[in-house]
This record gives sequence, C-alpha cells and structure tokens, in this order.
Amino acid sequence: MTAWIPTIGVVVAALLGGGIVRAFVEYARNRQVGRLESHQFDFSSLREMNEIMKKDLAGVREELAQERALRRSVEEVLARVREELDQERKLRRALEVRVAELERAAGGTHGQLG
Amino acid sequence: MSLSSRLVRKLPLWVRANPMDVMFVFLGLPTSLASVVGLSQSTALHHVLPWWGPRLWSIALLAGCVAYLIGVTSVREMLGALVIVRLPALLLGLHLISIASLTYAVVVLMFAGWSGLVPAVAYLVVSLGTWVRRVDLRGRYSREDR
Repeated sequence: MTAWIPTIGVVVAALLGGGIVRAFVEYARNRQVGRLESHQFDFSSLREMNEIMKKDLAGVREELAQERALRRSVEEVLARVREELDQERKLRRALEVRVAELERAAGGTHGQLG
Repeated sequence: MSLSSRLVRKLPLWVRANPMDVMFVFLGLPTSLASVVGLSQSTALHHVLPWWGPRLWSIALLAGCVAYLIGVTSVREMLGALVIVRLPALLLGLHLISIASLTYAVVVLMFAGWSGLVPAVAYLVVSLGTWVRRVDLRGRYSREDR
C-alpha cells in the first residue's frame, strides 16, 4: 500500500467525524426551528392538529386586532392632520384674498395720486 | 382486485408512500449493524482509515439508517396530503447516509484505484441522491430556503 494512504485516511476519517457532528448540530437546529416557528409537524392526530390550529388562529386574531387598533389610531391622526391642513388652506385663502384686496386698494390710491 | 394489489394495500402507508426509501433503509441496516458488532468488516475501510475510522463509519451509517427509518415511518395522511411528521429525523438520516456513502466511495478509490471505480460510482450516486433529497426536503419546509 502506498505510504501516503494512512495520512489521507486520517484526514478522511476526521472529515467524516466533522460531517457527523455537523449533521447532529443541524438536526438540533431543525428541531428547535420546528418548535419555534411552526407546529404543523408535531401532531399525530387530526384532533391534535385542530387544537394547534385553534391556538394559531387565536394568535393571528389577536395580532389582527392589534393591527386594526394601530390602523385606527393612524387614521385618527391622519384625519386630524387633514383637518388642520384644511383650516390652514382656508386661512391662507382668506389671507390671499385680503392681500389682493389691499393690493387693489393700494393700486387704486397710487393711480389716483399718479 | 388481484392478489398482489390486495397484498400491497395491506402494507402500512409509510411503506406504500416511499417503498424505495424503505428498501434503502433495509439494505443499509443489516450492513451497518453487522459492521458495528464486528460480524462483517470492510477491507478497504480497515486498510485506509485509522483504527477508529471503520467503527465511526459504521456507527454513522447505522445512526443514519435508524434516523431515516424513524422519518420514513412518520409519514401520515393529513387532509389528503402526505406529511412527514418527524422531518428533522429524516433529514438527519439522509445527511448521515450521504456522508457515509461519500466516505466509502473515497476510501474504495484510494484502496483499489481504478478497479474500485464501479463501486465508488455506485456509492457516489447514493451520496448524491440522498444529498439532493435532503436539500429538496429542507427547502420545501424551511423558510430560509423556500
């Protein structure tokens, strides 16, 4: 047998060991991710699945209610801002009318004087 | 209905759903078990790897086959679809079988040279097939790879 084979053999065996460790680490991570993110693979009967889905649905409904409340508050703020904007527009328009009137009045006086 | 159809329909769902997978598991289990207990020893593994290498290889193959079997037997029919309940175990099994096959292919090539090409290619195909299945299953069920 060639002399270098035992040395390469140790490297191959070490790589195999590393691969085994990696496989078990991935397994632990997959189990954890499965537990944290989704429950759809943890049931063994339809009843169990139904219970899990009921819990998930309650969670989703709660999140939806929270989002609706947030949306409502944002809409309220938006309505208030629009109202203020309308008032400011009205004031601006009134001010513009007033400025135009004053300019006309000043122009008339100037014309008379000229 | 023919006798063969009746017989096949009596088999458990996990066998009917993945007969090839079950076949591979039952091919690997006796080999790895015999290797772990020392009944059968691969000459190539013993010549190329250090003294602890063949034992590690056979343990990896045995653990892989057991995990794969656990995953394959957890197939259930839920709302008209086949669901793998113990997917992490199935992925672990595929991973271990894949690296054990790759190691064996490399060892055979090192030990026998070109004359070991045919068995090496067979093991490489097993390694590649199990790798593709693992990556595909992981991609179908994980958010990262979807």
